[in-house]
Amino acid sequence: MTDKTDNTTEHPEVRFIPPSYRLKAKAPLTGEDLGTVLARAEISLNRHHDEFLGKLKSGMASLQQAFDALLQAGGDETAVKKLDDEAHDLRGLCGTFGYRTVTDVCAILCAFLENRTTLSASEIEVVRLHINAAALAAARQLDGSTAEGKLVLDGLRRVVAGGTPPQGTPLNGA
Amino acid sequence: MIRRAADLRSLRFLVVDDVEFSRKIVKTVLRALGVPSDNMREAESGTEALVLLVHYRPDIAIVDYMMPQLDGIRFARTLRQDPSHPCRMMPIVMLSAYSKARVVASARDAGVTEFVVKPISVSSLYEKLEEVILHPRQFVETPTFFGPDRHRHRDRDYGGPRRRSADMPALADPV
Repeated sequence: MTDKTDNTTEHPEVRFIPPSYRLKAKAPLTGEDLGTVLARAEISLNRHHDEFLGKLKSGMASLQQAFDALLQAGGDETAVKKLDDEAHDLRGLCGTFGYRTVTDVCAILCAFLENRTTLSASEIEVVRLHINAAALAAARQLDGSTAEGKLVLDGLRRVVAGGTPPQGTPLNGA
Repeated sequence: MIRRAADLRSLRFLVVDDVEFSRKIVKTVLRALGVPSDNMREAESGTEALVLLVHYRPDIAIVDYMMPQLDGIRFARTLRQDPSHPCRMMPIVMLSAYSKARVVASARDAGVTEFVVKPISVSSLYEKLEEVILHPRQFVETPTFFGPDRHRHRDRDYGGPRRRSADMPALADPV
């Protein structure tokens, strides 16, 4: 893995080191079907589903607390950062356990918060819609491919883009 | 046609993430893919991982991007820039919920081998592991970079226009 070969003639300051096939030799292909192996791994992963639900519950509570603090603080920088961190954590976790829409809502929220250090009153209302949407998606394990899920996600994207959600979007008071 | 799985039993892994549940998820997937528990170590930060690497020689590191102290990108850069480190060329698979192009580019420029966007799935993690195992890339060393070749497929018989910055001095050194 460390044998170095200088095979560069055009750019003498660049050195190429040939790839090592040590891992390929150490992990040869088995006779087992990959689909079967992955399905088995999915089953193992799902054994943590109950633990995930606990993480989801505490994560949603932390997101709500971060939003409440944001309201108290009037959208200041520290509160925005805290809210972004909480949304980021949920975004990275929920899709693994079938809560893809929570991940998608949090992704839209994180994108909205990116490059914003403080929030105006109207921007805080945009965040509120995301908090409501995340709570709704978590409570109903909303699937983004269903009509309701699409309505929520499309509504948030329209709001973030500066528009208003279409009528009937279940974002307020979820 | 059946696609065969790689036998991961002999590989040693290092899982680095500040969130305990995230480490548990990765280790569960690895174990289900055939990696024995004895072949896995974990660390809560890049700093702890660097200390662990003094004695433990994993074949592959799976590292989260956002961590306190030393994040995944700084961990990768530190490792790649140490010419005497025995794990300098170890494949690094980075996990991150941030999928922005600039984050991916930063990871690549730090010498990260593969990038998995969170939330992870069994298949997304396996695909990247298989990539580093079955299709290892050559390493490139320049005065400012050490890491896997950023060009995954090098066509030695390529006869088309050369567009790399090093081939175009006017672009490489803008006035």
